[in-house]
Amino acid sequence: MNDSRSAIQTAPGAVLPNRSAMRSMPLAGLLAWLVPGAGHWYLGHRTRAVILFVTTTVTFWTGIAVGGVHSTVHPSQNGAWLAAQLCMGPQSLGALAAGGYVRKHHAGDIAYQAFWPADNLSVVYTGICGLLNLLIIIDAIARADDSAASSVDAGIRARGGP
Amino acid sequence: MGELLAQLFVQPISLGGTAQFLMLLPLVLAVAVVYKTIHCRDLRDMPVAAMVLWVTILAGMMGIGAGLYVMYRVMA
Repeated sequence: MNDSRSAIQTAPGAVLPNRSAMRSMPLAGLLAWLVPGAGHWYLGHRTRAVILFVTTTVTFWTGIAVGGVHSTVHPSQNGAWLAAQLCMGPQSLGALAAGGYVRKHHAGDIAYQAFWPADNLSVVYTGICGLLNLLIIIDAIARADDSAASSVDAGIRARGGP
Repeated sequence: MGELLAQLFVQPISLGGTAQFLMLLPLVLAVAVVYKTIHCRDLRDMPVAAMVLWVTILAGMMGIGAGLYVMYRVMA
């Protein structure tokens, strides 16, 4: 199930660079931040991308469901966890905005506030999920770098270089 | 339907007792699946590798927990 395509084989011993396989590292990283797995999709790793998207998204929203948006992605209560949560991209920004809306319009309503252990669990779930997406972003950037390097190597070989 | 879905993410769930420990299982599974999806060269190897890693992490955590509990009982 190796779904990457970095070079095209035209004849025995002659490998030409596949320009479409040369992928931008910043774009792969940005896509991976915007939608978990999108960086891998962009690089041609479609099956990997779907697995990564489903796993991280389900885990993140499970965390939100446990603690509710009021208490989970909270800019002043959860400290460094917020930085980890924000690695989930627009999903975490959406949860942050929804939490801000609930905190503003239902201030003091304990029905929307999570208490121990649900508050801790939800923050840990979403924080770890954000850190997993950081790992996915780094992997997408590394794979984009590898695809660019293999395309350059293929070009050198095609020109009769080392 | 939309309101019900919104309530799911707005109102927290009350957890306690065994449920809070059971919540560890899906979280560790997610970690194992993501890690092995990234690291396995052939994705056909991923399900088994992820299951092995899942069990390993859980066994490790239970071992550490049991060890700390024994240490606490001995020192108390």
